[in-house]
Amino acid sequence: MSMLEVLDIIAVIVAGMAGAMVAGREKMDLFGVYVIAFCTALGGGTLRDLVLGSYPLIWIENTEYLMWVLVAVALAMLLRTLLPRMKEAFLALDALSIVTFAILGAQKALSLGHDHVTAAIMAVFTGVFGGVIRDVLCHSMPLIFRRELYAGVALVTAVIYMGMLDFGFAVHIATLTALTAGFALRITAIVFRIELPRFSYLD
Amino acid sequence: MLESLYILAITVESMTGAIAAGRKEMDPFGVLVISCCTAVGGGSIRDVLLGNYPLVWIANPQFILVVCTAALLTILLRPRLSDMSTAFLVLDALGLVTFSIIGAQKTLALGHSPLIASMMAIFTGAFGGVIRDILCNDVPLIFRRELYGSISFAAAWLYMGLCWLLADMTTAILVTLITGFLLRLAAIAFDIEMPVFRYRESRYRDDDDS
Repeated sequence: MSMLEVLDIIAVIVAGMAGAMVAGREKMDLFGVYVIAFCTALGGGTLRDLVLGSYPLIWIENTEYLMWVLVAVALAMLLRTLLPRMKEAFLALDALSIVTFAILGAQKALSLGHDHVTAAIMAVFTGVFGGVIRDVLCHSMPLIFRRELYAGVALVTAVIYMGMLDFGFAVHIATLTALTAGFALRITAIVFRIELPRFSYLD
Repeated sequence: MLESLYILAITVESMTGAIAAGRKEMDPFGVLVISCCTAVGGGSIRDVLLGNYPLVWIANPQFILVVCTAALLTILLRPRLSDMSTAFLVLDALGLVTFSIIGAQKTLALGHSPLIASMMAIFTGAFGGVIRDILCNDVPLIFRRELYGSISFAAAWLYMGLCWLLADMTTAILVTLITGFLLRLAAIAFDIEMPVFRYRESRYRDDDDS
């Protein structure tokens, strides 16, 4: 198994846990929790594949993903009492999952022969739209549009990754660099509460 | 002609998206995402449903650039926006009808029936706005407001009827554009609405604390 495959599974589990936690806040039943976890973990990639017309979808071709979501739900429930105290660790894992998803999204779009603009957009789709679907289903305004550089991190990661490939670096070096840089950016944004200035239009 | 109207339409839809995002005080990145979803989301749903790949904006990424430029322009024009609200409604009406015609046309070209084409006209015309409202956590306007989706539907049938009668696409497009446009303006001016379906039942009310 390559590093990216391992990271993919970790990312799915972490995103699934984040989904389960939001569902728990809304007092959903087990089925609801699984659905929200599923959409959070696999929704972004599904949306990407729908938009690109790349069938079969990853979790239909490879049903293991459904099991990883189940693991995520179980973990979220078991660690329920501990999670609030592990907030920092969880935010770090969450950052890792966005960055991993972003690279996987860009990679997939490039491998299907799309150009850089499309690949960058797909990185954002894969990285953050799972969270958008989660927030829509839980009826809150998607966080990513207002919080510390969430979507921006996915974009920057993809740009670094593709830029390094263009300059002739090997895939694994580009992956590692983009992962590290994106991760560092997200952590910096959280620690120093860096946000883009907001556009407010009140009439 | 339809091409330039399409560019006008995505520009206007992008700006309505940016304004909706501004009402929710999003950061510029969120504004861009909402703008893109509003402008090309309806057409994307249509193409995904029809299995018509690649999607328009993936085949032509320059449309995304147009949309993003329009969104950034909206942010820059903020102080002047409220003066332009009438112009906005007018352009939005034009965009709605343009999208509807394009949606119907594409569906017919793929060999589907007129009924499907009229549904795809609604998806193309109105669902960008639905995605926008959902992402901004509002109840989608089109489900409540003056004949938005209905105009899309009517425009599609008018266009298809005219194509069948006249065998001249340009005239059909022009007549549909003008009629749909006037219908929408009339609906706005006179507050014409479809009857609203109200259903209230206290017995099944959520016992949540919300």
